[in-house]
Amino acid sequence: MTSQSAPARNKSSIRWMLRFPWIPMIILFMVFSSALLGPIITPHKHGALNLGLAMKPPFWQENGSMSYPLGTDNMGRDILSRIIMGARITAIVALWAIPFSGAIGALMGMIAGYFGGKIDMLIMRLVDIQMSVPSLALALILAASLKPGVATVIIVIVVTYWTWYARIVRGEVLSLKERDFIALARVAGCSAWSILLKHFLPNIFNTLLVLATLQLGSVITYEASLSFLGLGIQPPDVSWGLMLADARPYITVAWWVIALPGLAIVITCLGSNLFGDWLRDTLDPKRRQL
Amino acid sequence: MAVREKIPLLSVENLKTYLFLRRGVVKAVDGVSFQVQERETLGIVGESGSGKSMTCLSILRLIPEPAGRIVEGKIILDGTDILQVDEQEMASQVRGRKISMISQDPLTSLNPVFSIGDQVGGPFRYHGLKKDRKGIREAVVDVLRRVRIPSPAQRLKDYPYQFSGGMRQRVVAAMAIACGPRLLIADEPTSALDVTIQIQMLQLLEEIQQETNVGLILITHDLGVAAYICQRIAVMYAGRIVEFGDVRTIYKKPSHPYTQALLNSVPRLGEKKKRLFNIEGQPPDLLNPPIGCAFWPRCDRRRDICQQEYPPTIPIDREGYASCWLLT
Amino acid sequence: MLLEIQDLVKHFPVRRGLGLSRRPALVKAVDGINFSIPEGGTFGLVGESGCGKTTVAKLVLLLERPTSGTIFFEGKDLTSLSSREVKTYRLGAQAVFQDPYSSLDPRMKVGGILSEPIRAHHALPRREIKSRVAELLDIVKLPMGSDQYYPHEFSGGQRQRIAVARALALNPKLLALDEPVSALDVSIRSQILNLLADIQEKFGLTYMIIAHDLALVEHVSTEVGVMYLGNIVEKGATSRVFENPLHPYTQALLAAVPRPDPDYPKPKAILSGEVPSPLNPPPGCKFEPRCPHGMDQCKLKQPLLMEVEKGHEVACYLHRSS
Repeated sequence: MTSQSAPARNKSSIRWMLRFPWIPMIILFMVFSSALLGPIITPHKHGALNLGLAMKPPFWQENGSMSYPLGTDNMGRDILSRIIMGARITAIVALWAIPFSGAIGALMGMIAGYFGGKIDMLIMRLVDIQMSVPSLALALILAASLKPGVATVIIVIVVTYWTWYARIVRGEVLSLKERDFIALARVAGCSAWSILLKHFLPNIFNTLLVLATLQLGSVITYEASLSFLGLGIQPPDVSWGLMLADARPYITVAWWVIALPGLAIVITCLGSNLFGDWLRDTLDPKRRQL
Repeated sequence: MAVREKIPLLSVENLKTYLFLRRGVVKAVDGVSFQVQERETLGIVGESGSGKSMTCLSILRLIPEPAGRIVEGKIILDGTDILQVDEQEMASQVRGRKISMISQDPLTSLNPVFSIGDQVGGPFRYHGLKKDRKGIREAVVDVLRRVRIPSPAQRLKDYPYQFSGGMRQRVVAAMAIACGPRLLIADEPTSALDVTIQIQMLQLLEEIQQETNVGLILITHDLGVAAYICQRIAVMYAGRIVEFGDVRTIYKKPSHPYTQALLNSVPRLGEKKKRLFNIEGQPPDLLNPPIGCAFWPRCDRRRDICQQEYPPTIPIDREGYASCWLLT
Repeated sequence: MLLEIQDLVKHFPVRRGLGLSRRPALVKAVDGINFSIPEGGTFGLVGESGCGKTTVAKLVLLLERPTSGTIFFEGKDLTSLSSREVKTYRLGAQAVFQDPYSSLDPRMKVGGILSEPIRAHHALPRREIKSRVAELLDIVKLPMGSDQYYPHEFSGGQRQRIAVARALALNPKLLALDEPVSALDVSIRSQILNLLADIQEKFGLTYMIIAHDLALVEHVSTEVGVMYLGNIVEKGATSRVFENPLHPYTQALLAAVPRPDPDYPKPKAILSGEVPSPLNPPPGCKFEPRCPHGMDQCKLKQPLLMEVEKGHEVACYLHRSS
């Protein structure tokens, strides 16, 4: 006979639907389907030059037309098609660079934080050294030794960004280490790795997720700088960053050439952040029941 | 309640403080009335969710907004209903000046980046009691001496981390009495202190009361601490006072089953028992409190009517009372 | 004796200033203690903050390595175990800690929390784990089905029950309880204490309980040790120590406890000053600076625990048995 009553659960599907991040999901869906279906849905070939049609404004302005809805750039290439193909590259870079840098950074951070002592010192000095080298200089060195292209961009981003994750994860681990359930897991006989995987990882996962969504904007701009320096995406491939770089000379005469890819970046980052917020809240067992 | 000869220092009448949360309404304080005389200590005994801290935050009008609101009641201090006073006057005249508070955790009560001299000087500066630096400094040293901080003049530039827990609590007490309040509210002032330090703190509170005639409300869950210093005790449960009386009656002849259960369930020095009295269940969920008497799910002598209607208040002795159907 | 502690010492080096000094300062958290617990008994360790009692628990649980001294568990020396032997030891000794909110992983369901020790040792085949979890829930009187919920869905008292259930998962012999009820509401404490007493009787467990609440320690312990700044200053059968406290510190402690009885003579503050820090203690008796009966010899050399009456030892020059 127990005197304790079982906890009550509160499900409200209407509330859940209201809370669901429809708009961010739509945005991300559009980005990723562009990435998948790219070549199929572009109205024109993204690399097709047509100097006669150069600098056409978007359709809602004078001189624009629906066949080039978002206008063309200085070489007559359709902006819309380029944005769609750029989404593809952005998605590829993000989907590889962010998880990899996150995984490596988190692993190093967990090891440093949990084991402490000399290991911690070693890893953190490595982080410090790497962080004191300006990232673009690092990128130059790396890219000079590798062939420019998507793979290089991914590698450069991973090498630069893992340190950021490592530092933050280490901090989380240090504070988690003080919690009683970690000590009690040791008392129960769990091995260090089992504790790291089963206790630390789930508890820092939320932080990692939020960090990852914050990184998206950073990754895109970093890729843009690399492409600008000629170390990243090469024509005929196109990325939003590259479009920004290309459009620089024409800002005053053709606002759409820089503004529209820029808008694409902003909307994607916003969608990613909002989605990350929702995901973090949903995955947190404590918040789930509200 | 019997009529007192003097006008009470503080009179709380039918105070109701509710928290309006997304999930529902929490009736944190649900009709609480009591009085405190000057030079007297009232103990409010209760557990988490009893409403004891909320009551005192209500007196100071420091309840968390916008969720929290005092929906009903009067709080009359020296003849003035301070619930009617505007916020500006409350901050400058009442809080820190007429009513002060000492809270539980000495670690978080003090700002770690300001020196002790700075912080204890704060009340003097804010309430305009002293104008010049020299005057403030003297006042600070004086009040620190009154709370028995050794060599206060030399310690003005020290920071909180340089003091032990007990000393920090004294500094907090100094800040509380700096402007000579009429009423002092101490919310679990000794819970975080070691036993030998706790007794020093309780003695200090007694001395302060002797010296300044301040009325003291002591909030605690520790029955021993309450017995030490209080003349009258209010036992709170789920937002209401379930029993009230003078300290001797409460401890020797408690009337409410909750009070009795508490007193029986606590281990006492020198009385070795095989088993402690078991109180079933757990403190009530304030979002869905039980209908009728809030204690009925845990009461070992409950009757049907307890689950239907809240019991009436039955007077006991001269000025005590309890709310229980068993007493009718 | 199930557990025997001999001359146990734990010093923590502390970095002073920039850490450039050659000999770092030492926090002598545990400075040479001896006690033993018979099987089925309950040993209570009392003291105020900084006395080292929590460090003793960590040493017994092998969460920290002692600086010197030995810990015997069932006759085996714990201080010289291989890591595999340490794991075997853990089958026999488990713990319940003070904070029910920090003791359970918020991201694990209760079922996972309770089965974790079992899985860590591969103590049971997969299919038997679920029934063992149900068994554990029953022992601590939590409703069936609790294993599907997360810790935050339970109250503090219920969480502590979960912590107790987890500690019992491997059928340990020794349970170290560090302030098991101080973070709980007063009306819940007796539930948990009664539960612990029932479990002890039912399973023949041995308890080492650490608390600052003297009345609680008197209630649950068969033997008690009073600690001050890393040393046990008085030790013996609970009834002897509490009825006839010999060490001035024990007397001061007992005198300072407020009783839930307004007619009882008011507690007095016998001791002035603060509980000192375990950094740089004086060379003689560590209690001497605050002791109302300090004598010259107290300043010179630390007194050792000596038996003054049967089953009652004190470390104090006031009580020298000839």
